[in-house]
Amino acid sequence: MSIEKRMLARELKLAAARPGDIFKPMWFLMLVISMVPLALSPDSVLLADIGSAMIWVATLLALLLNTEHLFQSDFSDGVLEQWLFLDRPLAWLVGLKLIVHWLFHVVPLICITPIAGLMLSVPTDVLIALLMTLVVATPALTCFSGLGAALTLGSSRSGILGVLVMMPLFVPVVILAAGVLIRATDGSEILPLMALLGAFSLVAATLVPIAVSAAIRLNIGGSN
Amino acid sequence: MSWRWFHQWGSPRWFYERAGRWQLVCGWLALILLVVGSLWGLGFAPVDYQQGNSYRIIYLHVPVAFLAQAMYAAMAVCAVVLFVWKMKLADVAMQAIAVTGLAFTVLSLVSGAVWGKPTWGTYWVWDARLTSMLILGFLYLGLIGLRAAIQDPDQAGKACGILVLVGVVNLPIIKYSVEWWNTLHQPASLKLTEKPTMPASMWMPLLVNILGYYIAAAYLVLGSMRAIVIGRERRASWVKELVGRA
Amino acid sequence: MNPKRKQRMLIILGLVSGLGVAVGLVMYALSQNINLFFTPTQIATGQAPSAQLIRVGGMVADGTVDRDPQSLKVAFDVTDFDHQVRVTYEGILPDLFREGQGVVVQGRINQGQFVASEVLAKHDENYMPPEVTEALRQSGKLDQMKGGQQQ
Repeated sequence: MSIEKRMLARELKLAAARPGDIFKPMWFLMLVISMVPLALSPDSVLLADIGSAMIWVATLLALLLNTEHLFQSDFSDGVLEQWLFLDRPLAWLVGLKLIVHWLFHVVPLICITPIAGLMLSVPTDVLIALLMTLVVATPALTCFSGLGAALTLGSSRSGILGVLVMMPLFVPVVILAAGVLIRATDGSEILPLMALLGAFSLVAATLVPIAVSAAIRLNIGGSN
Repeated sequence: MSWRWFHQWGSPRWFYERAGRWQLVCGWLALILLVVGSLWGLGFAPVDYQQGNSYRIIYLHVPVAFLAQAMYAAMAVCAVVLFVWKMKLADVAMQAIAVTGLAFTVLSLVSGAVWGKPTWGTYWVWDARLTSMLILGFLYLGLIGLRAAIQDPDQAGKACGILVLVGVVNLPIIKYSVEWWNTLHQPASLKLTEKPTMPASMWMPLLVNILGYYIAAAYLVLGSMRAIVIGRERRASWVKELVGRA
Repeated sequence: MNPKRKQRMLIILGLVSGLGVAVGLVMYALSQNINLFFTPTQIATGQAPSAQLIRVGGMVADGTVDRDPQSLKVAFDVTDFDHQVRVTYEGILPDLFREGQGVVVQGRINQGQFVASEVLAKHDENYMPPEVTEALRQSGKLDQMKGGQQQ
């Protein structure tokens, strides 16, 4: 069995053993969404106007919540150290880990956003655009928050720091996604902006794993 | 050896002593330039035809905003030096610049807000440049926080280096996206390649002040670098000697 | 080819193709118009979406500012010297707001009128002493300058 297959099998087992890790961010997302009408007003016209943006921000927060400790358990039980001795480039393994994390922990989040959309009476065509932006943008978000998680690995008192450090880098993603949603609301062309969003995600997905692997090396090897 | 000029930067003691002298020179030079530039700009430069006297805040705002951005670039250079030549002093410089850069960013945001009230009619608008300055401030804050969270200074330095490099690649993208998102701020008045859109009696004092603030920034960075060097080398014999003498 | 080298080849290929596709996407996006900023001409010709928050930039046309003496309501025309758009606003205008001044208004189109939620004076990048302005005005060069920077 190849290294990649074994890694995938291990991640599957881990995910099955800790379903709470998948479930909790979804729970968080729904709670945040329920707070919106309570804090604002139950007026469905108003909610439909800002609903998609709210869902986007809530999904972003939920994603940060579950990516914060992405490498923590692998770090403490020594799996990351094993990676260094495998016959594969570290960045490749990191990339795999990020993809698996996206599949198991981020895609479920995206899957429940339509329910949130219905609760905030977001129109169907905007909802479709929302789903598209989330699918296209979350790889970049996952990569960046993974980098935050890797940078703060060695520090026991980092807390939410990884998130704070990475959040400013999300600005282009949020702006572009919001642009798509605004356009979807008034029915104009969204493809050009989706293309930009996709480009950002692709660049992040190809380059950030390299930075993540450097950060992991740093926390394991110490000073080499 | 011809490489001596380069390698001596690896010696903290050499740097500490030299930097003390440079700091003195920078301090006086900055003081003179700032006093001249500010008096000239605030007292003698002509009034603007539209904004009246309120435009005079550019003599603080523009240099400080220049510096806030230039310091991030300087930090990126330091990060490259740290990773390529493993020079510890580059890490010290990064640490010093992060704090000074944050201070300049905050100062430029505050002075911009004070200027915005009379000209735009509001302290804060979600304008492209204001927003990207704010994001820049958060990036500086992140660097300071990251360093504070990691105990081993070498490790902290490298982690910050990675973050600086990722940030410097991202900064232009952030800037363009924010600019696309919202543009209200006027285009820059001083460009290196073009004739300034201000008369000489207005931009001369600005130039003096920009120079003054750059040198003042060098003074501040050198000062905090010296403090950091002393702190990190506190177990070295030359530091003990130095402290014993004092 | 030994496996190590093959691995490296694959990774480089992945990197290059990822970045290449990204560049392609950016090129495509830039070939389309992606702005939410409109000129009065675009609004007059119906190119701007109605009932959606947009921004319009232009000059306040001379002699078109109507202030309601009883309230803070104000109406004025924004022009790009080609078409004009009637803007209504209720609130305090910035100090720099005056006729012939560049402004950016944010709001929605409602039955041919632009209902602004925010009016921002766009102060230009020209700084000059009042005497210079006076001299320019006398020689008639000021309007020329202002016209020039509006494109």
